[in-house]
Amino acid sequence: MATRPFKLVNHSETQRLCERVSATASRWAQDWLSAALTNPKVEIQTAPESIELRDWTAKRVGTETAAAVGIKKGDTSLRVSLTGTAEQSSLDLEDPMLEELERKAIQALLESSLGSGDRTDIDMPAPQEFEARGSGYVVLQCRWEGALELHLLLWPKTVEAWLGQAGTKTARRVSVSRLDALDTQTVKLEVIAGEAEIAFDELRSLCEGVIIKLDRRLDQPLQLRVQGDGVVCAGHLGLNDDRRAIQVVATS
Amino acid sequence: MKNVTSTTGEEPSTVQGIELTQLDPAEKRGGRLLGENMDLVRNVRVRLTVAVGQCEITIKNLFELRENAVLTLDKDTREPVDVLLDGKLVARGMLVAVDDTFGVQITEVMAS
Repeated sequence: MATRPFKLVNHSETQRLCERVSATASRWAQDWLSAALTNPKVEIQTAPESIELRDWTAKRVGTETAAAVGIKKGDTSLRVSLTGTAEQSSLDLEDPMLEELERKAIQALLESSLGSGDRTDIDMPAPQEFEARGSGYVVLQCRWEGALELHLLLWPKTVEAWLGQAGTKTARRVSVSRLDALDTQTVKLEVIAGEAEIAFDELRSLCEGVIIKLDRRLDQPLQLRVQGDGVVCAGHLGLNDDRRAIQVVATS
Repeated sequence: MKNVTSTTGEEPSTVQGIELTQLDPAEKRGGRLLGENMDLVRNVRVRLTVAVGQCEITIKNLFELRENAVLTLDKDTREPVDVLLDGKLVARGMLVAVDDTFGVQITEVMAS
């Protein structure tokens, strides 16, 4: 695997970022694409002419290219291409694999670019959130088109954050409104099948086999409670593959 | 002075405020008054909650939830449900139907 040296003008932060992204891309190619590609190679291009640079940077990669990452800030642009010959039969396009790939890619690139402890205000969205353009938290999109191409699209906030924070602890942080920042916070919802009031005596003698009748009818939706707080919604218990799942119902 | 009505029919003589004395918690003497006699509270009612699983969701997605959305929980169908007392796990069991309501059949009681 070869890495071509590159040079960027008047932007040392960007250069450090590029070095990190390059190193990550190499590792990533090794770990994740080597199974799917023969002769994987990492290529760095500055100001590449072949990619279309808009507000965010998109990559157009040829059929021999497996992945590419593009970054743009001002008049500086960069493309990291992971290339190799893909064998269609060896690419598993099942959704779980893609999700995993997305997560790994994001994690690797973020860690590489920001360093540990530097990424407190950039959260890693779940894959399904990637389509929410303009939220400021969409950091990366990963899409297979056919069997041979993987496109990684970087959104402006991400690029800005990377370029702003790369290599320095005192770097500028991404600023968002307080409410927007809340968007990526997660809460745990607990699904309650019901409650039962029993005597302390019954609690003491609780043992295997005892059946406790709950206060919820089978046709009633179950409550979803946010931890440490009250009921937020309700839904019917069911399955999603072999996992328990809830289908949310409208509440008045 | 206010008129005072006695509930016993006797005439009250004087009415005064009550002054409470400072209690010193440091001075405890003798054995435990109630011993191990849990029977004293055996009829106290406690409320058990049965949780079938959890899911984690972003605030953004939470507020974008629409009817019929499916949330997958962290437990598969073979796993027991949790029986909670005041949020603390006290037992596990299998979710069952008791007549037309949900119920739980205890499979494991947490060690005390």
